[in-house]
Amino acid sequence: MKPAYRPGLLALIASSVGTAMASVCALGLVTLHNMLPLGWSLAAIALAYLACRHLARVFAHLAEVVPSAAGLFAYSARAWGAAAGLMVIAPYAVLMLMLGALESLVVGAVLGLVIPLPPMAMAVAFLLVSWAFCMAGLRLGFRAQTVATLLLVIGVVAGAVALSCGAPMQIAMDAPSRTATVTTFAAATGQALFLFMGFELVCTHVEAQRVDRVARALRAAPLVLAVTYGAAMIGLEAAGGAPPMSGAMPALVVSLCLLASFTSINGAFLGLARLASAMASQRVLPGPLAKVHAASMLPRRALTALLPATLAFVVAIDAAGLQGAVLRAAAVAATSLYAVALCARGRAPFHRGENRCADRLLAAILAAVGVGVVLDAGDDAAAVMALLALATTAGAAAAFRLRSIRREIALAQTP
Amino acid sequence: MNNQLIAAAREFAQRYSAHADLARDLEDWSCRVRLAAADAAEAVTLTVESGRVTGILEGRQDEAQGDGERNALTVTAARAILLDILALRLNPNQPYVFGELTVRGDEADFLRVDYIASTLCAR
Repeated sequence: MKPAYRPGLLALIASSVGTAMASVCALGLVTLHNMLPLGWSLAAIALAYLACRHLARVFAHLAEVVPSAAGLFAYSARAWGAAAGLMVIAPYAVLMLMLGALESLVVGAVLGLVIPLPPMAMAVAFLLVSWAFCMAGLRLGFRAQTVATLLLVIGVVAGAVALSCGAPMQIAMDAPSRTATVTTFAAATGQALFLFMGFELVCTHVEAQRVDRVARALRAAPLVLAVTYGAAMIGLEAAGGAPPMSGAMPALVVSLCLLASFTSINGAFLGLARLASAMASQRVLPGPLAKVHAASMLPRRALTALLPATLAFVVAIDAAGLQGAVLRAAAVAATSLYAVALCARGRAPFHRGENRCADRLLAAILAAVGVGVVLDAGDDAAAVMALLALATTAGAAAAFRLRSIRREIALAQTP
Repeated sequence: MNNQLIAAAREFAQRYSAHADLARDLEDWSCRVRLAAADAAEAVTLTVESGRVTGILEGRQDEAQGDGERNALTVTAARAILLDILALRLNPNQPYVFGELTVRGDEADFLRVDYIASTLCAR
């Protein structure tokens, strides 16, 4: 029997960091830079880090009680029932599709720095190549992901240091065009939380790993992310909002972008396909999507269905200029999901009589931050609300369908 | 009581062995699959070698929850859920995604177990 490779702590931290760091994070960092002076931006990242540090403990506890790769889906289903689990995870899945589309658009734009082709064509090509990679049954192994994430972190920090060296700069708390208000700071914290979103997915490795090792990776990853993002913000400030595209910079940016995007989109495609397949086996989605391909053990039909859906989002986001709205909607999703995790901890089978004041306080802060993100959206507010409504409606429809099916089954089994 | 879990596992293994396509699809798979009842001190272990079930043994729950063994998969759920899965009344995917069934071991092994049960359930 050939033993399976068991990743060590470094590989788990890299997996957590690599999942969180995607190319859309560059857009998030630029958005953060444009919202607030450097000092307040760094404070927003620090606050998001502190929140994630507490969330790391919460997720470690949830994963210890229900050690399932289904993650938050399983936790919320155990805490509130199956339909509630679906109500939580379906909007997240829809927003993940949108983020995958946005990721492809960013890759297309960045590739435009070195390849003279339309960005949209390159976005579509990137998506097709990533999808074909998944369909072939290939996935980025732990070793490859560790190397890619290390290169990514080192590249971002080195790029930021290079930009900052020689540029006179101070960590200012005020700037002419960027005024810090309570709402803007709340929105910026939400945007910063979005940059950490996905670090908790390392919990999905709990089935093949010791829980304490996953817990350590959960604690370490937000620190790595905070340092990397902090350095990137300082570099961005030194460069005046965008790195100069001369010398080796375009090649560095393209390499970092491809590393970040490929690790993220590969995981997103496989994760969403498995979720779609699972939902199809529950008859929430059309039954044929549940079929698993025998040789690769992949739900290829579900993967195939994801491609046109993501391509449709690519076209819609690009045509309607929804890039900013998708980022803000994702930030609201991040705050909501984390608040759900905090609330789930207070319910059976997770609650063990501990004092949960910190959980409640953080959940309330996260809710306020989510509201701040929408209030600060300005012209994008209507689009953000529409995207959130679309995602929530998908969740509600899926939950309603599941309840109906379960009622049907219960009635059929009644003598 | 444990006889019921073993009897269900034997019946499941017979159905699996009778499905020629499944055995062919999984001929490169070897694994020890332990089914452990979360609400009772009961467990059963199925040994699979080159896609064929070569042994079904009664196992205590504490053995089933051992950690770190390679090519071993431990599936933990309420006894009733395990019996429903073995009797093909329930697709294991359902309790799995809703956190009522947990797995300890490699994802690749669970995907195969899920594939077997889903294929047999669909018949």
